[in-house]
Amino acid sequence: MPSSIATNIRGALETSLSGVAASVYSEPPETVIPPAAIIVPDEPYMETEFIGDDSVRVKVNYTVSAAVAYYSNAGSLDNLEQLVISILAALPLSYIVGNVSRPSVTQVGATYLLVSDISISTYYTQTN
Amino acid sequence: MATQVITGRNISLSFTGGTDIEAQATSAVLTKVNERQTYQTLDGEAYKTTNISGTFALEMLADWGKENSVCEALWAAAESAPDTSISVTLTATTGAQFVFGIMPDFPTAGGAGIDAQTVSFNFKVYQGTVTETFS
Repeated sequence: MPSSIATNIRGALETSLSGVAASVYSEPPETVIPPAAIIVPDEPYMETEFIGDDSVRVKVNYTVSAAVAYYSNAGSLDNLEQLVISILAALPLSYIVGNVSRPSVTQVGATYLLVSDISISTYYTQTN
Repeated sequence: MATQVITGRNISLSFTGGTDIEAQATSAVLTKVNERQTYQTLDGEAYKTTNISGTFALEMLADWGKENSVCEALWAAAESAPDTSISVTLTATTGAQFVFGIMPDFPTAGGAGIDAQTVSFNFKVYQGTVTETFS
């Protein structure tokens, strides 16, 4: 069965994060139920770093957006910090983990969320 | 004639021993050099090439622990037979193949917490000998 980024990268990452006390989305959802960990393609999304063309091999970059309900500064920040730490702990060792962005308030529908983005990267080889 | 552009994706690379080098290599550069002496004569500069040397620079993602690991094979070779060359075949693109021996070096191990573990080599080409096939 051919590999796919949806299954072998985002799906596998979703499974790894399933132990986190949050809704985990392997792609940006239409609605977010906080607390949530959302896997979002980063910029650049894919980088070609390898020589040769016998297989398509790319470095793929994502952010995992950690989102919690925004009710009060102190409580929400504490919730966000705990969520970020639990996500970092759950990330597979084969992932390169970058920085965690400054929290920001985002409105999704009628819900206010406190969100931080965790930069991660890994490598993908297409197999047929 | 049309301009030809070849890229790193044209390259193919193999080591003897069956290691999965292409899956790990991010850069591979063979350099062959004429070591030329320059003499100042009354007629001007005169040249004599006294030696030909070569190096092979390889950048790769570390693959410790993997089946057919390149790092482990090179480590073992550097430890057990440091003066025996390993044959490398590098094809720059279809019709330009280079076969040469490299003297094994120990790969580095470890890296920074923020990044993938990588290994950089600058192998000495055995006797500076490269067998090229242009077609």
